[in-house]
Amino acid sequence: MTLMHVRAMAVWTPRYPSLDAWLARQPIAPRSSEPSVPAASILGARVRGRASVLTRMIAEVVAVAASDAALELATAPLIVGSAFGEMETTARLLAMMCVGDGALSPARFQSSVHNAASGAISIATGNQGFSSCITAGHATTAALLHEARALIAESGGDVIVVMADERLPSFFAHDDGFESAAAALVLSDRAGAARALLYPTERAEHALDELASAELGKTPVAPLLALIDAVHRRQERVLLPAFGRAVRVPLGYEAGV
Amino acid sequence: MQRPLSIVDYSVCCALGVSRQAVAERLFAGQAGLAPAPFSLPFATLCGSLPEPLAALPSELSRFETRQARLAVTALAPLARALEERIARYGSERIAIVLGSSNAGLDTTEQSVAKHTRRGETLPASSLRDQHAFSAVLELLQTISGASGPMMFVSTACSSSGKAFASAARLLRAGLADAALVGGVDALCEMTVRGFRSLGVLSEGPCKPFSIERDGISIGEGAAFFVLERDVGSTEKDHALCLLGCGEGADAHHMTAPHPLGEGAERVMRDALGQAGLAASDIDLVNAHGTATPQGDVSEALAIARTLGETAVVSTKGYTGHALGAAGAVEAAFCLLTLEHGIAPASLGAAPADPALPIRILSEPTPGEYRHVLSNSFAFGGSNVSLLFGRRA
Repeated sequence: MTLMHVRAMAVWTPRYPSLDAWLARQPIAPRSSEPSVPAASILGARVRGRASVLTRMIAEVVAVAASDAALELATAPLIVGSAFGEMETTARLLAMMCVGDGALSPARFQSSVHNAASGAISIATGNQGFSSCITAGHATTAALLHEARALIAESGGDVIVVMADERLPSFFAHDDGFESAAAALVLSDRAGAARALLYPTERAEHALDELASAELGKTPVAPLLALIDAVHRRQERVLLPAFGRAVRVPLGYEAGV
Repeated sequence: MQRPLSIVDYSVCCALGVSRQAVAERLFAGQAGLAPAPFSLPFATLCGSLPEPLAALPSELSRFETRQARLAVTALAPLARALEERIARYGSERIAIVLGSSNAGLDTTEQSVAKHTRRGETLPASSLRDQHAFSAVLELLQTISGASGPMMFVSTACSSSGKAFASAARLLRAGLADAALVGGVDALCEMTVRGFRSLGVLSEGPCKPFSIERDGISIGEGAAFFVLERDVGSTEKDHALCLLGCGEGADAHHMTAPHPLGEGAERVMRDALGQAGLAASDIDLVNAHGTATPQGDVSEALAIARTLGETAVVSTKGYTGHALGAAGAVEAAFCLLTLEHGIAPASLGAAPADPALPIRILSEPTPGEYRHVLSNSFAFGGSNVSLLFGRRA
């Protein structure tokens, strides 16, 4: 079975706008500060100006993780995960349908697809290689690891894996409300300078209940944030949700890592 | 070169019908399934909606009720036995579910948001999880089928279900699953029809891919599911149909417009050929993305001509409309029907063909010995995928 090494990690949330801020749990502003947006400089000024918060968050953590792993964005494979995708853009389009003759903005429509961010990054970086966008609700992190492991088994090398979701529109908020968040890993079959080793996912015997009470525990990004925490703390395993049950990802740390 | 993956069984429902037999009959008879949109619009267009009502979900699963969910359950039903056999053979955790969709439960969400906006009705919190989200259909299919291996939707707009084949193939070849339910599902939504209208690429009449008269796309819906399996032991003899290769890549050019010369399309077709270990001369038919936009058809035709020369080409969008995230899967089913029946459908609407397109378009249903069929799907964001299906001797 293909082993995956974690070569880099990145986090961006409105309150924790860097990996260090997240790991130290040092928020920079109160919760009410949303929507703040990351720089997302890789997108270029024109694209960035009309990009959604979600796309900008994804571009930000992709750039940070790639830089940390010394990866070339023009060639690095990219897998983006998001439980709900471009919800804010979709909500605006749905609202437009209720006004007048219901004409939609073409710019918003083309940015409403789940792969808007991966498309924008591909265009901005000139990357003509592999990119994909997957979704599986709160099990998206587990799905991302499966997709990344299979891709590395097929092609070898590095892959940037991102998980991001933005705060839901008000008509959906209710009990399911959560804060915007994005996190990224660079995974590789190369061990050099790796932070940790991710062994293949196993079925966990017990249900997962600790995430809900964790910091940012309600965002669909929470499982990847938990994995990042586990790597930082050099835990032996992390549990991830996977459709009514949990899966376990054993973690390893080689000498010198 | 990769080893082929067996296609054990498959299903399809689209504007042509809700069974493989019904779809094959109309496809090979050249009968279109396009009709006026089933909802009120301030402009004219034809859509490819299913020709008969879809059954409601069983009461115990009613919380998942959306048109998307009904389509998925309809497509799942014919595959129940094949899945049961795989679960018995490999165990439920070795069966993956990998699907493609662009819209998820948007068909229900747009109705709910309209009520919210016009009447101030709030959306129940459960509607997000059980109806709107992509994961709702995964949970529904897991519950019905019993499969519990890796599960995901690929959502890359109109290449979604083509890329689902590629993801599932990787999972199987990496040993992360032994079999997979793979395919695509997308229900007709008002927002997508209006969205393509806003881009100025929606036809008022039936779409006419590769025709000199083409003026844009028609939107459709559908679902097609496949049971994909690693070749192990006797299955190679038992199952004639197979997935031979996948090519994936990006244009890196524009969010909605294809590369004008089809360079990204050419790369994924060549990658699919390379993965299958086949030459251009081995390909008997190309199922083109062929949406009937003036720019898109030129780009794809140039790419096909450079990659595959005089190979016969069809677009089936004239029968079903563009099923968006489900298009790759629905058209994969058409490719398998061609391989099984020994007949290629006519490229409906192509006549009179655009003389500027340097490809050989099939204007009539064409019987023949079809062994290898290539199928293209291209999407917003410049996402491209090409699949190569085959029939073993």
